[in-house]
Amino acid sequence: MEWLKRLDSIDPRWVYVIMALSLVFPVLKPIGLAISINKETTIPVYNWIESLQPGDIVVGDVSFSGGSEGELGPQLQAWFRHCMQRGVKVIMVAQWNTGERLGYTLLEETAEQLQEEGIPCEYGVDWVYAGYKPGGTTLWRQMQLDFWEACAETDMLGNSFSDLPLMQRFKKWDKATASDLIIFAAGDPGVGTYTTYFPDYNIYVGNVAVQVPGAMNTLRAGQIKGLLAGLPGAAEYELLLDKAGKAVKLMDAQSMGHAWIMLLVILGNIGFYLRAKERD
Amino acid sequence: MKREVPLALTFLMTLLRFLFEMINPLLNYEISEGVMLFSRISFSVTFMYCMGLFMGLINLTRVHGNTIKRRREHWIYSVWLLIVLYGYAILGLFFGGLESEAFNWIYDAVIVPLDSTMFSMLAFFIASAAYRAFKIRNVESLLMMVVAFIVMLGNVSLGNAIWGSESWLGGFSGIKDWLLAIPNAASQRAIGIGVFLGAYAAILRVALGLEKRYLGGTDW
Repeated sequence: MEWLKRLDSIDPRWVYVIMALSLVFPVLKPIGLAISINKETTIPVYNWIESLQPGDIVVGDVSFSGGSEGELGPQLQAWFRHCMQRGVKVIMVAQWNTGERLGYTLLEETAEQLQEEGIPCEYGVDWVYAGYKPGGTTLWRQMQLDFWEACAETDMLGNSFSDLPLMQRFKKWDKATASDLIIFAAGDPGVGTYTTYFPDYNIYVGNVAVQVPGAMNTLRAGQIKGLLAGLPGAAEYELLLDKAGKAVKLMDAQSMGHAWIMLLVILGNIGFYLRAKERD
Repeated sequence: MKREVPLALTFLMTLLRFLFEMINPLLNYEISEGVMLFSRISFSVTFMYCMGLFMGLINLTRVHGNTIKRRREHWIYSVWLLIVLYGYAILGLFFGGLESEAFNWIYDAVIVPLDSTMFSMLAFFIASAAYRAFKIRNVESLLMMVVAFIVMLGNVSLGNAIWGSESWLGGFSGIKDWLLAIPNAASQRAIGIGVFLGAYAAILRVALGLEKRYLGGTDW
């Protein structure tokens, strides 16, 4: 029984090695555990895009950087794919300058796949990436008054808005041009910009898992209409689109990672309990 | 004057910003045809952001320049920081910016993977920290562990395989959803109200000139 007492002092190197293996193996050889779709968080986002008409404009915001790409990247790509499949036009802005190019790269990758599949996804016609503009949240208020002027009339690539057909329909960002928006946010500035300056718009959110408890009260209060919650949110969206991708593949790894943490906590407590009993 | 002018400016700008949000016609007020007052103010903020970046650049250079000059501990990292800082800025400003392959390559192949790696390491730290710190010492910690396990299982497909969402109580994910939507949301609201009341108090103190530390110095 002596070995059981040692369970509360496992060498951290084993903790790390087993964690690494639990994450890597399921990626290389997926287990294929079933994923259930969350009706309260994911379904409203999916239904929102389904309810739009081809040609409608929605605005998306990339407020994350490389650190959150694992969770928010697949969300952004799945949502963008859905918009393009439905013929919904997308205009993207970015509140984080560190994630501006990352967001564009992810969308460009999806756009190429869509075009290969024969789904129209032409830059400037079906989507535009305005990107990051300095000026903080005040600038987002300015975007509502005159989007073109607030963005210096250029997209991230330096193209003039007057050369992009989609932008001719989006000079002003108001409820008449786009009353719905989604923000993929990993922190601040993030959702607060929209709940403050766009309170009467239909706001949808994609969050990393650790932010979800903090976002639940806004969802319950109706300030946001739907929430893609971390990697499970992305995986559920991919399944709804019937296009299992990166997120579905990574869900098994997340399961194994969680299982290892729980096992560690149980083992640690067995050792802790036995040692405490011995001391008494 | 050194003190009064910044205080008066702070009060004025706070009042102006507040009025812009409260009085809609003011938000759309045009100083001349097609030129909105708010747009001008918004661009002054943008300009201040850019100036802030410039000030940051000067400050960073001074701090790390001094570290290098005095050969303080780890001064070599300061050299590296300045090389990266100015190198990447020069590459972006004078060698094509987003059209430059090298500029984009550094972002795609260095910045994004480094950022992801830093964040991914959390998995290892959390595993180690949970193992060392999550000990059941009383009823509260037991309750916390049970809730943590439910939420962890409710978030992953493994939980669904053990106790599925179609079963009694919606399985792990059903209980997790209830925990997040009811007790968690209630406490988040309470925290939020407290935070915002504190923020309002802080803003009022700054606007009314009761809080002066942001002016710097020690003689006031």
